[in-house]
Amino acid sequence: MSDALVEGIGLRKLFPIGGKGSARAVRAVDGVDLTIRRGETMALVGESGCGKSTLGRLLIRLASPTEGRVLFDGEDLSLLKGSSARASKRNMQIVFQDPYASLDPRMKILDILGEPFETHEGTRGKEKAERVSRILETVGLDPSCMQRYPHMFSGGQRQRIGIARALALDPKFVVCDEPVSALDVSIQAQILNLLMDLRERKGLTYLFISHDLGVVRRIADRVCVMFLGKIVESGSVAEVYGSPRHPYSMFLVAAAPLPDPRARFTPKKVLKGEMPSPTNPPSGCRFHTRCPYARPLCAEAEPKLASAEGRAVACHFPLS
Amino acid sequence: MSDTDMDLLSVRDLRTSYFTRRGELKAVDGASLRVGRGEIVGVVGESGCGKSALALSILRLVARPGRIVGGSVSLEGRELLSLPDREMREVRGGSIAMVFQEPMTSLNPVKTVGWQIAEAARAHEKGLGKRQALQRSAEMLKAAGVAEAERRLASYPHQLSGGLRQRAMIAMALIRRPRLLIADEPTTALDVTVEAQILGLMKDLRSEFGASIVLISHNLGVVAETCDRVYVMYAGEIVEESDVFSLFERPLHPYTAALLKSLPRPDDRSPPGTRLHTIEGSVPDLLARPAGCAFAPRCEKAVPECAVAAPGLAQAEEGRRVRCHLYAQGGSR
Repeated sequence: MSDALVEGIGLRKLFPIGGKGSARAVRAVDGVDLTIRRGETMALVGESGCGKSTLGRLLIRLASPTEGRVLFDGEDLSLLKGSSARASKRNMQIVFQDPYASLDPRMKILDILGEPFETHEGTRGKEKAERVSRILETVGLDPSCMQRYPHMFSGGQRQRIGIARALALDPKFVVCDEPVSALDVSIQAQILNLLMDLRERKGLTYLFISHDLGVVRRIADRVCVMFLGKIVESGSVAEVYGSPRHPYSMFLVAAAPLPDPRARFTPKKVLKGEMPSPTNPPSGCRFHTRCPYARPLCAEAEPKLASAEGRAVACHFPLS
Repeated sequence: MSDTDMDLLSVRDLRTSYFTRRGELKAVDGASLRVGRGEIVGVVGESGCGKSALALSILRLVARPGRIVGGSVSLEGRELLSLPDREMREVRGGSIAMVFQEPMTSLNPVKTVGWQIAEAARAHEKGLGKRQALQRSAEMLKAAGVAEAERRLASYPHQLSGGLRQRAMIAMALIRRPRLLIADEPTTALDVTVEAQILGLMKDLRSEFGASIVLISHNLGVVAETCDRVYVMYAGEIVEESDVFSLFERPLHPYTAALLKSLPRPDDRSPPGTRLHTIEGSVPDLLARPAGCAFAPRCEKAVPECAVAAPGLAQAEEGRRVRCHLYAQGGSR
């Protein structure tokens, strides 16, 4: 068995804009290679519009790439058809940010959580209820709540239901797309612990998408920093936070507010300017228009993501 | 209190309730707070703790079925709660300004940013010409850190990024030279690098314009880096009041302490996968508040007394007050 569970190769996703015949497109994901190892939690961090959610969806075929391939367990997902394609989907699931928007308000919890069993295994009636009650217990909810509707639950409970639905069919790989961003701190900790427990108990592999560097620090083994559709740096979380090599990663880490008032005595490195447009990204290195260390080469040539000793950085003049 | 004369804003025993079909929901249940001149005061707590209702109450903007049912709000010694509506509108336009979380919903989508800021300026200063007002708007946008401010005057809100919109809101708020700026989650909808820009801007504005700021936030990091003093709210009550350094170094209320412990930090050193401290349970239903301390059912340090008697906010140390029986020996409200 190979070490890699999920591999994205040359992934690109363009969303055309401006109507028929227009050549303009939002370059949401623009040439990404990414390997997620079996059993690890890989985090994807970056700011709104950097393409992290789109990349997550491409990896589980919730969106199909404009270019590139996704290998799952060594198999090219785009080549699978019919029943084998459906079977492969059991193995990859997603937990969404807003647990309210992702649960049908007119369905009982029994039906929301029973659907995967019905669709994939034809399980109905009493057996379905038993499976649902077991999965509810797994995520720390009382099985008696299965006759209720989503609006009768708090935000944290709804997210437990969202996690239960993702785990119903025992997937191997789960994309968690900002799973705790809508939750209060005290509830957030409960859900993060649940995700960590489930990972251990079920041997899951996570792609954890988040803008919260504190959350990522606790849950992830490795992290990829995205900027405008590209991965600009990757490595272990401790290394990337401790000694970022890409200037953008450095600004991102520096910007995260610390719950420590003494942090104000260290002058903050604040990134200037605005995010460039993903429709018409800057030439060369996409960060060069905002980078205080940019030199002429940066506007001309696009830096490749070069890896060494488990770290990778796409910068002509990486920080040391 | 002897220091009230020095304060810009003094809120005493403020009570705001929402009268719902299920009964009276006490969103703010007797909150007292003060804001000194040039001070940045934080109000922090989780959803539904009453922090936004407190801000709206100070401005008398509580919408039905909500109503301020008691207490006092005084700005520079002038009682706001008994002010006629017309005078209160002048206060809102003049001495107090507010910045909200989502700038897109507080800006007019069919008017240019320049028009809106200029309108604010002219409303404040009668007889100010259009051209002058626009020029002043450009200056204020520049002060709010907007590049090419003159050109931006002609932009409509949808043409601006979230960060620029929030800067436009701040410019609009500050063009009236308010004494007090109330900012309700001003950076929550923004990315971290933009958040850092906006928080830096707010600190600069305090030093440049001498304005006091009430910063309402759920984000402990934002509060830690920006505020001088902090009020922690839980279930409609202020449970702790402290200077920012002592609060984060040595939180007194068990809720504050648990909240800080359950927060995942970017500067954490524990190995990945280490479980977080959790606060079990969830916030109480404000329509069915537990008797005694509202936090007692979730509190690790609760003693039998906590379930019976509600603690008062009592001084625990110099400049620090806490609503907890653990500290109440010898004196309560």
